[in-house]
Amino acid sequence: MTTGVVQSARVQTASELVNELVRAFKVRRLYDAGHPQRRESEETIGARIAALLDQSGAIEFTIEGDRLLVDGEPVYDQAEGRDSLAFLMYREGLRQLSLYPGLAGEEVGVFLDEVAAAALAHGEEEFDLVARLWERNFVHIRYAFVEQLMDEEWTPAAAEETLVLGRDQNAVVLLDEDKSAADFLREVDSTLYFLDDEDMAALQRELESEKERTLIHETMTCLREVLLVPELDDPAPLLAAIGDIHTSFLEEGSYGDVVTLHEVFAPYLASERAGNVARSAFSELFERALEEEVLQRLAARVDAASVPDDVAAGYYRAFGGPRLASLLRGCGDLKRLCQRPPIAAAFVDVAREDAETLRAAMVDEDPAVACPAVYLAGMLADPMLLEPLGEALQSPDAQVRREALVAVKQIGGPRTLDMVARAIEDADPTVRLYALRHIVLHRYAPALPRVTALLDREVEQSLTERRLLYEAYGALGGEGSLDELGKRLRRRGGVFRKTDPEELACVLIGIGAVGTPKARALVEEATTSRHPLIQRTAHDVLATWDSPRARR
Amino acid sequence: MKQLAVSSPIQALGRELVQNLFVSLRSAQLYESSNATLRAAAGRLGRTIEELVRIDSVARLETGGDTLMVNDHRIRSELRTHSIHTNLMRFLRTLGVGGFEWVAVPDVAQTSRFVAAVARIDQSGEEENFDLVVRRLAKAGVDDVRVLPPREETTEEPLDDPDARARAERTYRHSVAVTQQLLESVRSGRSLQRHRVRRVVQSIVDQILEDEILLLGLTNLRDYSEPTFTHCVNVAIFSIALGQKIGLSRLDLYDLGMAALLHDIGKTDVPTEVLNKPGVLSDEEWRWMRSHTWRGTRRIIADRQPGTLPSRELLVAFEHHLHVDLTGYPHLLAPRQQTFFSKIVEIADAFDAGTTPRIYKTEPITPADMIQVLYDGRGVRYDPILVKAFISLLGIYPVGCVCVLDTFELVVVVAVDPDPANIHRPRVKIVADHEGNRIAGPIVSLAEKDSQGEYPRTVVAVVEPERYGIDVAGIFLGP
Repeated sequence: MTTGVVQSARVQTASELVNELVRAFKVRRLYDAGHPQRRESEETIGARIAALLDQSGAIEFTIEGDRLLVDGEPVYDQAEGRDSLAFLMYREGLRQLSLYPGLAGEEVGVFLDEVAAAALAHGEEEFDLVARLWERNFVHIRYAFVEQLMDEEWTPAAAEETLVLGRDQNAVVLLDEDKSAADFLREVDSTLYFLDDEDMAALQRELESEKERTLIHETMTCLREVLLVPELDDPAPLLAAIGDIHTSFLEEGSYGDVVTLHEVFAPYLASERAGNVARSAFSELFERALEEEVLQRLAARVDAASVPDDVAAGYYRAFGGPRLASLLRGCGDLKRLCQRPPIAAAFVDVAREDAETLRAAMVDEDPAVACPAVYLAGMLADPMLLEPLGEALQSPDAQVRREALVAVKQIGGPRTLDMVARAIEDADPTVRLYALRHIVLHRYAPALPRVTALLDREVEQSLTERRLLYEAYGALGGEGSLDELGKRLRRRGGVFRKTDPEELACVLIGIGAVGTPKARALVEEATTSRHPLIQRTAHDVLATWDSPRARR
Repeated sequence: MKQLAVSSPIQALGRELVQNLFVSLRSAQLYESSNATLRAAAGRLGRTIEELVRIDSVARLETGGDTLMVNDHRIRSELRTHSIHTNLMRFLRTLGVGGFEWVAVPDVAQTSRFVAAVARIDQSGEEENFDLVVRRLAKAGVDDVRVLPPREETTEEPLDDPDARARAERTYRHSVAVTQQLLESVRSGRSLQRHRVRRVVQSIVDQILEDEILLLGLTNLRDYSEPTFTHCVNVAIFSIALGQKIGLSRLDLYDLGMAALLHDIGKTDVPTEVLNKPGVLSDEEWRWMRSHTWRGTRRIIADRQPGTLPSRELLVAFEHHLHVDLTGYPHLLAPRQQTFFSKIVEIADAFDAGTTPRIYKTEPITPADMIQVLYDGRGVRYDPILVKAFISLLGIYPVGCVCVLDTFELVVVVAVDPDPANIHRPRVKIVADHEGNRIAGPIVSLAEKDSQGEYPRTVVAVVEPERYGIDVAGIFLGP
């Protein structure tokens, strides 16, 4: 609440102006940017502030603790400590504030944001309000801070002593040598010193290029040079600082810089100059870069597109190469990551370069390692990996077996079909279904005995699995399977009864997979069934046969 | 409120005015008056004029020496706007006008008519350009803009303004004192108080953006007892002024100033008996001196704020004794390119170190000789474009240089001539007349010719101030 005895129109205007500033400050604290309430308030407040300044001209406030004064009169007095706009400015060293006509809502907003941000960061030297305001270089806001005002009063005691140095009141008698005519400088062609547009463009290019590069490489190589100085007695403080920088990069999401840091110091670590302390420090940093938390955050940032794919790919290459298992354990959803081509390529490269580690990872006891490793094996599509994939298919973890089956399929070839055929007996239904589909697709006849055995096995099977089993039976057995299928179709409790129509529909699909005229006759017969499911399935099978695709 | 040396709204609006006028003129050369692009550009120009008139009752843009002035404020070009500034100045010179002044706020139509009339003037006629512009504007119905004649170059210097001199001196002395406190504190094992360094640099940047001459002049104020501290401040001043000359942005100048002020921080780790040793240093002592580069880097990295990486500062501390050909020190194990700010600070450092009497160096080089050293080292030791820029900042006879004229007067250089063609004809203050009488003489331009078209005064020699007992810095000090 603003109090104080208002004695003049100017003070009255200043008081109103402060009220608007305080309102704007509160609105910005209450609502996020873009909130309609905030937008509306800011427009109104901005217009009001502009009108008040137009009316009064520039207004200069003195900041005194919780109070703002104009012409010695208080126009704002709010003893609410950290919520007081005056106090927040005072605490940061501001003593005077001037607002000029032309001040618009946007500039007010930026100013108030800086006050709020400085209040939050109070005590952190790097982010004090005076530094923030100086960097903003406001057009219609000026201020004075405590050190500046002290400077105004400051007169150095030692000044006079320096002033008298060299002072001499005797007449000047020029030496003959100084009277002699023109020295070399007069002969210089002054055009040699002209800075032309080309010069300026070259300077701009150099500066822009450095800004783009952010000088991280230069900075790191500089620190490396210092670490290699023979006289450097204790590298520990530098190493600690490098560790902090590393942590900052990871927290900021500057993954490219993390890679640069490790690349730059690699030659140093390989040199004799680097002792165990340094090696151990960098090893810790390397491990840190592969911590699950770090990798998960990276994956999330990739997902949110806040880290470019190629930067993430570079990171995975740099750290995954030497520590593939750690990378796979922590990287998160590898399939999702690998939907991005640069990242997929990075993982493939890393895995290809270290096939031994990949093999070991594929059969790792930890599914969090084995799963992505097996997935990578599929992406590599290297037949040499079939052996560990076979082992992976025996993994106690169903997810690993599923991934292994997918990988086996991606590698392809006769050997893989046998591995797939074995998987139709897997304990996990998903694995079985996947294997069955693959067997049907490739009409892999050697799998028929397993399929036949499964058809008769008294185990719990879903309707989908039953359907696939019949389909596989028909597809693999061909004409030879029709007798059995026909029998099942006509079995007591079969087509002309109302018992288990779903099983019969599955049988029909199996007959459909045989695809011969004799099989067609059986299916056509089933179209007369009174059971709608069987009738519809029979029609569907026929329609599938008659489709142009089937004819082809 | 006291008058403070901070940027005013006029500076920012001035930059806008320059930009918007240039864009409007270009648009008017390309498009018809009714074109939307031209009208939009004119609209922006009109709004800037409106704001200037509102704040300062007038909007006036004119050429002044080698810069553009808006409402009497020098508007510095930045790297990215350099060509806009130079082209606009060239355009105004070709038109034969000094600039334009608005006292009323024009609407979009008026502004469009103004830029169209000015931009499309055919300059091939016999008529005096200035009159032609005035008539064309009148014909176009533009009566709210006053055409200014080319500005008479005056010898009015910031030196003539006692308040400006006092402000500059305060900034300089305060900077030296704070730098001394900070570096001594670092030497005694405390962390660097970066916020205090920042304040110093910000005040130097503000001062240089207002007018660099006074601070450049004050670099002649040598404190022989504490050369390290004045050297740090001087290098910061020369670096920021050079950065300003080549059009670095205000924030870049700040970064450059921070790096420059701290470039020798490694010397706080060098024993004082080595730093202050009179006479020649032994090999071992030189090793210590040379180690200040990497020690500085180590110091900066150790004293940085958590979560920050002051790359510019530590690179400058490390590289400021390297040369562009990578000779110099420290000895590098892997080749690297000297960074941009390091090249700037290297030149500033070399100039100040070369012209400063040091304990271990009996004879300082005169500023003019040092300029020649820099010029001779361009492309090998120093970046050639930056050397050019440094010379166009200080002139061949740098500010503070004591010269003998062919009139046998003794003068101190106070400013470089704004016309680059007169780089060897600076503005000088006469400190002794032809008879050798010490006088607080006037400031004269050596570029001025007499009625016969001859130069009445020309430099014939550059001398050390000590030789004739000249107190150079006193000229730049406050009242």
